[in-house]
Amino acid sequence: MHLTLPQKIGSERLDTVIESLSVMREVSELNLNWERVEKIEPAGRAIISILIDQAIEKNCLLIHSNLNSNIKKDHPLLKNLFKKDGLPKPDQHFYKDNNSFHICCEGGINLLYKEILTRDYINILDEDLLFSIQLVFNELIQNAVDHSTSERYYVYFGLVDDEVHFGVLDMGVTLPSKMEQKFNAKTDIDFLEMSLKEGITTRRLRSGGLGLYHTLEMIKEMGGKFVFISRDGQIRRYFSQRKISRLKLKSRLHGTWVMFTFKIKGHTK
Amino acid sequence: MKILIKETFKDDYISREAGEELRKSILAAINSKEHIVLDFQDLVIASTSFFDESIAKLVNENIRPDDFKEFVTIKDINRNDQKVLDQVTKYRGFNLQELKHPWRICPLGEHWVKEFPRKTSSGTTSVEGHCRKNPKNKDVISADELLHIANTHFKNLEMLPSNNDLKFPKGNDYNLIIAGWCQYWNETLKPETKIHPNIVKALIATESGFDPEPKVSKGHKAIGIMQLMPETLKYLSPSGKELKNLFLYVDSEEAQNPIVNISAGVRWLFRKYELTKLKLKRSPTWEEVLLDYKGVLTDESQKAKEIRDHVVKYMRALQ
Repeated sequence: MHLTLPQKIGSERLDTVIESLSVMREVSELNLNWERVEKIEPAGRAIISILIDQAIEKNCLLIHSNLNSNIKKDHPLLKNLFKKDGLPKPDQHFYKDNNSFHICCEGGINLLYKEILTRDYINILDEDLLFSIQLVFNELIQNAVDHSTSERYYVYFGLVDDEVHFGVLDMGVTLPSKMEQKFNAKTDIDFLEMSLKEGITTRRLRSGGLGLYHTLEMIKEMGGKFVFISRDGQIRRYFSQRKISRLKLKSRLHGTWVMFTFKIKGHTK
Repeated sequence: MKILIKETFKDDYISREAGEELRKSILAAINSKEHIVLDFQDLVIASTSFFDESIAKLVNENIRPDDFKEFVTIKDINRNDQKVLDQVTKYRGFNLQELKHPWRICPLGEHWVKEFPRKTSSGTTSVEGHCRKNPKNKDVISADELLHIANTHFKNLEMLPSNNDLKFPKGNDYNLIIAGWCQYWNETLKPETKIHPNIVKALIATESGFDPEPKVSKGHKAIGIMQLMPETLKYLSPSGKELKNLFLYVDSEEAQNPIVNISAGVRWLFRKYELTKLKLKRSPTWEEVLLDYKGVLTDESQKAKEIRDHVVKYMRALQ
């Protein structure tokens, strides 16, 4: 099986990477062609980590072709791709440069992202923006830990041009799978929509959580974009345009990815 | 008891689990009537879950906001965290904020500025009426908002003064305004005993005979229908150091207007209530407060006796 990765690996054009993750559950060997890849965005680092971890977990041999040295240095694991030592440890995924970082977290709440944000970005971004980012991260991290029961989740953050990109990705129990135990909906998009409504929760212990709804209400004036993908559904919400697009994924994602983009204009120091 | 959140929850101060742990400590303190300080020094929580689970969900444990306020002190909380806490507690119906009076336009901590013209290079434009933040987030009501409240809400009031004009030509002209401000300040300040509009009506009779511009001797400084002193207006303002909260921003010119004047006068009567209580070492009656306002509560001089008799005469006529 051969798949060609897109020009930019990030929160856009996710079809090929999601297809890669889907087929590696079925095939024993997958050839990823990096020929077109020119840029890895902060979200892209988390996605590459997931590709590598999932290939090992699903016993699928990843064969990388046309991977150039510029791209290799953008992710710690791309440098040592051909070492087969089992699943890379979380700290082997860790990446940090002047404008971004990526953390692989394992086994519960990890507040390293908070430490880096408040230490390295306090002089760049204003207090309100940093607070909003933390508010979202905290909600997403808890969802990844509580709902997906995934061992690992991937946290990324980065400044890209006039935007801040951040998000939390996991490959655990999908949100629609969790939701259908308690609610009825026709499609996975409906489940995703439902999970964003006030008062909807799948939590069993400490029920009655406020969910993502309240967090979105508090940060919507920041503008920007929100991408929410799980199983067969995808929702993209553009806050400043009050626009929402709902799409069925071409390939199923066996996990939940939530990615945000905020404009930083007016929120820098 | 003091809980330094940064130390107690150093590995996790964002999750529902951590919030639940804190809630148990708060519950134990309230149930044993022990005071507890939650110190958020040097920490940004930024988690709806933590605040929801630790504090807002106390509502499910049959804890009332008043219990919380009595036994729990929140110290050095980040301003954005305070907003999150306000939002989640409001959502759960566990409102820790003092509710603003329903007649008020602006949220607590802000005051109303009415529409005003602004000159620009291309002519004059209007600045729409808006709420403006008060220094230190204390509650302040401006003359503009007092006028708005009176013009909008002073109808169907719960307690009107007597219809007796006390033989003054304008003796009944201000009944609605008196009743409106008594209701507003009774509901806002929640006194042990509500002030009756007849108290205010009797006071106005003795001060100005219901004339907003009473004839006075040269050098007389008292203002308007309730004859407020300029110093009193200062005492009622945030810079006055007399009140702790629920201030008025009213200048001498604005206080000429009977609507503004009566509101400020009633607010001052409520402050006088506290001062009279200290003087008498017991809760005073509103008649005693009125006499203290006139400076004749304990004065045994002939002049003071005459003023007291005068007040009592009006009070009897209004019953």
